[in-house]
Amino acid sequence: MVAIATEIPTASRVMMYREALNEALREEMRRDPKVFLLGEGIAQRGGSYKVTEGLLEEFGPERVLDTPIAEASFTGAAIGAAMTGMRPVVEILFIDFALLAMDQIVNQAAKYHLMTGGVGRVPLVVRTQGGAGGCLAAQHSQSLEALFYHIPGLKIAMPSTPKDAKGLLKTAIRLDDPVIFIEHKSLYMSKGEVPEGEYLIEFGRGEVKRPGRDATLVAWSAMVSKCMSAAEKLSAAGIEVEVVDPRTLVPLDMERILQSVRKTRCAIVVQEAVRRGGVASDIAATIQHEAFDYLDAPVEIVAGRVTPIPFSLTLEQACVPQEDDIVAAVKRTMGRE
Amino acid sequence: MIPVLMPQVGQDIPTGTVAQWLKKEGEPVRKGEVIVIVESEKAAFEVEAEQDGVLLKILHPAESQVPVLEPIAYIGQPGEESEAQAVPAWAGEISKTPAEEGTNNRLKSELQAPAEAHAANDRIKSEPRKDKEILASPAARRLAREKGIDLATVRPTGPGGRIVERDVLAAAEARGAAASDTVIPFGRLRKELARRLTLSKQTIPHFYLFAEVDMTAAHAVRQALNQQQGCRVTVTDLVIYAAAKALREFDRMNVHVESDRMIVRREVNIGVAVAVEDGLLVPVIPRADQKGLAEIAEWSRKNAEAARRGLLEPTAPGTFTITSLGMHGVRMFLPVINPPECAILAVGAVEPRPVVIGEAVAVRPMMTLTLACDHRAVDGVYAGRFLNRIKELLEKMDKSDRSDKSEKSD
Repeated sequence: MVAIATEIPTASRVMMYREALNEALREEMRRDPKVFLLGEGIAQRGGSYKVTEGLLEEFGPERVLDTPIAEASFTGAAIGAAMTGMRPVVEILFIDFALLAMDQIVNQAAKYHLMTGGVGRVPLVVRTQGGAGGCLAAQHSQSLEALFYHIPGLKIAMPSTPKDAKGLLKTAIRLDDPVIFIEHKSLYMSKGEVPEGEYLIEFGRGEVKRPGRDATLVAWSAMVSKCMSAAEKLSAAGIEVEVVDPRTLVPLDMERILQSVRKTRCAIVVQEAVRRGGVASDIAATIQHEAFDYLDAPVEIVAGRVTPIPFSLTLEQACVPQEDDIVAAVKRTMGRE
Repeated sequence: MIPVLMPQVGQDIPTGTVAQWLKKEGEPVRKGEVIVIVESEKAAFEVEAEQDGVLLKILHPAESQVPVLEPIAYIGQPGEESEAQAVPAWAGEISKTPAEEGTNNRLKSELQAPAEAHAANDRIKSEPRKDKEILASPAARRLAREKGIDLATVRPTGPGGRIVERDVLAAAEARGAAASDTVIPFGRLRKELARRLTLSKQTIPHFYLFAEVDMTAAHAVRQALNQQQGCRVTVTDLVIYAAAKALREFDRMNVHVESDRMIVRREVNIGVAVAVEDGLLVPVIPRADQKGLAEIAEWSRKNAEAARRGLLEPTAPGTFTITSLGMHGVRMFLPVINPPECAILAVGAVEPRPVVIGEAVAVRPMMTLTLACDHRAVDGVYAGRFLNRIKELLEKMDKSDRSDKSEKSD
């Protein structure tokens, strides 16, 4: 087990999401020589989204490895290394490509601990990124967290801010279980406050990103910022929504979500992924089960349309939830149309 | 075609409440078959069909209050003209069953006919809705439950005409309760108690007499009796026994009081107050003066149990009431007369107290009796002698009081 310090507010600076991730990798690699990175174009090129920039220079080619375009192979190699006690951080360039490594992740990494009677561990982090990001079309825009969420034995983090990205990645690297760490391509350049110095964010500990009394918005990853701007609009209309970001989907901080729903009496779960079979449905089911007597309205879900993401930017935007969709859903739930 | 009437279930009970229809309109019924359950303030009654036929028309749905001996339904032969037209106008609105006026139909008609929908809304605002199906959110339902608010009286403001939590809060505030307070509406029993006790305190000039009773002798008798198989005599039973005897001698205490006269009752029927959920009941031991201690104890036990389980059967009208808080450690208290009786006796705890006997002080099991009397019907001297007679009977209890049929010579 990793001892997790609570977040201590200190002096902070503004940095980009990708810089925060870079800092997390750098700090953990300095701290623990067992941590090493592998993936496509992460060493010499510094990563397609520049997350691993400068790490080859500091840590050398033995700890920052460029791999062939062969996700199943290098993910399998990383799992093997993890089984022997290393702490690999794999980068899979697009979550869409993780499907090539599904057998390794689902049948090997997720099962090993249980099948060895608790003796074996796979301290692996699979960093990847998903979501629609502006005309990348159907095979590079998917939100596939539900595939991993469905598999017992995997932990899932989906940070929405630079601060969370750094704190969660550091924790992910220190955890002894396989973690699917899903970044969002539209967030890499987003900026936010990041505390100075060492801090970790515990898995399974959500955060209220904006307090409010009238309705609860549950969102993760890029949908958090969509909810935050929707909240601004709603506030102008006299509706104060609370935005709860669970930050990790496994483990899921259901208690924080329920606490908020018990206060506001309304819940709207927002996910970028397609509506069908999504994590939002699971959260909504738990809310209605655990907080039934506190609900003033059916739990609403705002989610992507059940379709491959089209190439056209207009159609892409029509397929994933937008600020106005969230505003409308809140008003509908509250009967304030 | 014959009407089914709201039964008269007791004296002084002007209305009954339809609790549950066991038959639907159009369903065949047989003579003697129970078709509806109605409730008075204190009990539920089954109403049977008086002839074979069909339940033609239900005039009052469940939860309606109806004056006694008013028709609540009609039974006749299939196809027979129902007297629905003859039903009072006010009954029409509320006699519609949910099947006739379901929520879905209402929503549909709101979509189709906005003008009618407005009319429907006005109705919702102006009077309690009687629809069985009320649209309310789970949060609203929980709050309504906690605050004892009838959702039918709450005006909905939520999406699709749903009652949401804020509507229940508004209803609660409108009733003058702060949002954090809990409102507990009086149930039928509580309402009846409130009515009778207010009547008692407002119309009866009470006066009170106290007596200290040495329970040494009575205790010995009680202990001896309780040695017997299945016998469980309480202190209250001892007092019932003694009071019943005294009442036979002091018949002016065994009366029903009216505004300008009193009626001396021949029978000594002693009511004993029993705490039940949400109130108290006073089941009666008929002709208690002719019963032995063991028999009185048995009646007390059965009455109390029946009262607690809501299965009391009417016996005889009470003529005198005994109430005891002794088992709860109360030394003495001032009881409220149960009209139309003229007196009530309060029994306090038996506890060792120092008493002066001759020139010496001794410790004896003592009990305080408080007699409350209606001064319109009885005066202090007579009541005092009566109370002293009870004291004497208790203090001089002996073997003869242990026999089954007590006919102690006097």
